[in-house]
Amino acid sequence: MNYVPRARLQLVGVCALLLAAKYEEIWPPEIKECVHISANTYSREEIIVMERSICAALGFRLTVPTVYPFAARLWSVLEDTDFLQLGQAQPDGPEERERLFSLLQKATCFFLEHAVLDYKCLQFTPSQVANAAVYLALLTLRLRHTAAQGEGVDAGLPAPSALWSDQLRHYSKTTLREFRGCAEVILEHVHYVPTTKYQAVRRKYSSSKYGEIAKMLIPDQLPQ
Amino acid sequence: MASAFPTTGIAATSVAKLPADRRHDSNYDDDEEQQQQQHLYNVACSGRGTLPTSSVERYERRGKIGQGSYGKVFQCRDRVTDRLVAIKEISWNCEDEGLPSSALREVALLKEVQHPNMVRLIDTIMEGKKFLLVFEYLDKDLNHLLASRKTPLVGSKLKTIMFQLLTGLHACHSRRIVHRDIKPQNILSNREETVFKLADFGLGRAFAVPQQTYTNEVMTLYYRAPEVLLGERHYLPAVDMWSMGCVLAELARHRTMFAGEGAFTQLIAIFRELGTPDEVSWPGVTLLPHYNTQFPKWRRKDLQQLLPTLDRDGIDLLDGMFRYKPEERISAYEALQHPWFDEVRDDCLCTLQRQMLEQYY
Repeated sequence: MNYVPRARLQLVGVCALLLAAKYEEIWPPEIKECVHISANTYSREEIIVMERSICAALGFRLTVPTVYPFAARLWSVLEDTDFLQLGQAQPDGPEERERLFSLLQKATCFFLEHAVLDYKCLQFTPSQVANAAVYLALLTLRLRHTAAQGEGVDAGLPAPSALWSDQLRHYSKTTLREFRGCAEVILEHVHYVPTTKYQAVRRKYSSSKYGEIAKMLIPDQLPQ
Repeated sequence: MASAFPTTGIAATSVAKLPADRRHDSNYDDDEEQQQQQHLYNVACSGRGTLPTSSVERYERRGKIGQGSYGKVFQCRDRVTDRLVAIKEISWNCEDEGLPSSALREVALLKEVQHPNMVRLIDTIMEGKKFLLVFEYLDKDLNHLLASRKTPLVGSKLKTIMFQLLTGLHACHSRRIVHRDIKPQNILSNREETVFKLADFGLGRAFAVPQQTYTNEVMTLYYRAPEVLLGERHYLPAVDMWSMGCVLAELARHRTMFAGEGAFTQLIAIFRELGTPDEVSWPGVTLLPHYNTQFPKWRRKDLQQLLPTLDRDGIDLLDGMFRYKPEERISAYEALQHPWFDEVRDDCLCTLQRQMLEQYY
């Protein structure tokens, strides 16, 4: 293990961000911007030295699957389908449908970003976490729809296997049972966070830009 | 700049190789952090941990052999194994932006996938202000090979080259990596011209399943796919297959297939031979950013007449590589199943298996 004193944790964070951007983006941020976002805590020399320390420690193995591409794959399966299994109650207009789909993406990210901050999620693979987050997003939006209809919270929920459709099963090659444990862990964390002082993710997802997902009713537990 | 990785004294020796008691002591050194970083660095950079040191001293520089997409390339001798290597040297200054992203991507991609038909990254060394990538050494590239002969390549030799390259490309694509710069200069071979490898992954990228917007100012013009020239921003492994088609055609007729001087004339050069695409031959083409209704209208020519030395199966394969619509273009995997390769497939696969065994065990 590489020892990093507390005062340099932010340096590791800034450099990790820089490396990720260089790998992924067309125009990564400049080093002076990295100095700026860390409020001049570190010099550009320190950033460059830490950048290479991280590369060395990881042996340059930066091509790793993250949760995002897995989630995006599931979205592309769900786009333009009746993913909440609403049947007749499905929104009519293309704009309405687009809005609902965008809400699904934001809700997925809400769960993904919670999972990132939970040590317990380290035991799961990125695809499991992505599957679980998409499933929890579907569940949350379905619950919201049911509540809006004025029905009882428990009344309108489809069978658990219904939301994880045949199509999702086919393209993820996964059944609900295989990531159920992961979904439970994420859900537990989402309900635990409000009792802590770490509110950044909740605050982000309380804004209208992020669909006010944090203000929605999140299911207490997975349907049996 | 003070280097975190000094090159002399104890640091130049892999800490892991020290006797247990010394290793123990060094953990309680005053320079604990530096020692640990050095240890990590040694472990991280020593490949499979079988080599004694990873330092500049290990390699004896012979001479400059080229200029890569970033940094110079030198031929060097490995003093430990007495083998030749090619070392790409990247300067890494504090005035600069740290590690160049092309170098970062190339190393990260090559760490991800090793294949007998991809040039092998043997080692990475960070020392002082330099970052060195140590590659296996190969004697020439396809341009040298083309220049050294007066006639087109035909028959099983041509098939063997293409089969090897497609095997290497399939290895990349199946690990969601697009090369994006396939051209004769980036295809290397040994002196005997029996082994061919893809090189220079400086423009390579991992594509996640959601297609992302990559810069379209990549790839040498002659080998650039029409969708890239027309400004398509969501592009796929199919761009590599177009380039592969251009390489096949160039080998088979001993002349560049499509030679334009700019993006526009490059498109014209393609359309003149393969016909001007329209909504019938390529649904959606008119929506691409650089599509122009003023393009002269040509009809698709018969590939067989353009490439008289290529047999019918070869023409059929090339036709698959030169499909306009990227989704319809043949994939590396499909191409490997093509009947054109029936003659060489068993031999090639046999060689490949042997190379893999040699490389890994």
